[in-house]
Amino acid sequence: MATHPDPELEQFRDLLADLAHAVERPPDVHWGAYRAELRAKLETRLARRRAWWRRPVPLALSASLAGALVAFTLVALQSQRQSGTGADLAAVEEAAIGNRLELLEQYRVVEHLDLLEEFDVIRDLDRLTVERTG
Amino acid sequence: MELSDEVLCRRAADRDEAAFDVLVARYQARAYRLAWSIVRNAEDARDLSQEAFIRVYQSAGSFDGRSKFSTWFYRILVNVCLDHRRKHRWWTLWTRDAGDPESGESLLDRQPAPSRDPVDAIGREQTLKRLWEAVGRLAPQQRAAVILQVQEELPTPEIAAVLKCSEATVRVHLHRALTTLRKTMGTT
Repeated sequence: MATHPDPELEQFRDLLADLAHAVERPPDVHWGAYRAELRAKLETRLARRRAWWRRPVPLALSASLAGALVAFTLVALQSQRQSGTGADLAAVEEAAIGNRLELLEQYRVVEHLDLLEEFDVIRDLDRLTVERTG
Repeated sequence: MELSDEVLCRRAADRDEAAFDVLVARYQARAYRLAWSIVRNAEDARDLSQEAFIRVYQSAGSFDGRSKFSTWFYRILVNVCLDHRRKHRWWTLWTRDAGDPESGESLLDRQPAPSRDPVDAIGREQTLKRLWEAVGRLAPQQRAAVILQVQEELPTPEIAAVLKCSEATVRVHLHRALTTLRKTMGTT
């Protein structure tokens, strides 16, 4: 079955062909002079960059920046160490709670520990009663 | 044996001046022509293409070789040219025919296409000249896409790599550009 090309697509194709056919050329350039100019610009740029680093202000800036970076690193390390101690304490606490888990499973027994504490009193209660009646 | 662009670029990264000079000699004409097509000014095109070479020299070490050197270089060059256009946008807007700065479409772009064939009315050569002038008035990304396809004959994936967008976006740019140009052709 023959397919009809999309008219819009055809127009675009013609347009692209026209554009390709009529590609404009820029004014001529003397390439030797172009490269010499480029070389000079590159040298200037590199020299400017080198000169920047030789100036006292950038040096002072860089030194202060480095100092600030070192100070920041030290502070960060210190706080990390402190938070590390906190984490250790938490770990010990967790371990202790973990050890008590079995105890918690026997909660009913724990619940009645106060009775054990009062055992002597309870035991003596009978005696007291006897004494009272006696 | 002729060294590849990629090898020359790696050598330029090691500050091999001769390798850099070979790269410049290889790309100078293309760079100047492409820059001129985008900015439409010979002096600016000369400066901008040289600026692209300077950036290549300075950042040759960051060329990772995943793309072709030409793609990487075109990307630098197109960015330099588009940045330049952006900086001089106020002047472009001032001189263009009261276009909509947000959409990048001029009043001309928004005119309906008349039915008469412009080629019948004026000479073909003049029409084609006006067509390229209209390319110069397209939105920057659309203009770059058209120039890279028509003039540099780059395939869509490479245009996408140069413009740092998807292939679908490149097609959209081209479609919008051609639609605008078709209308322009109709009104000339």
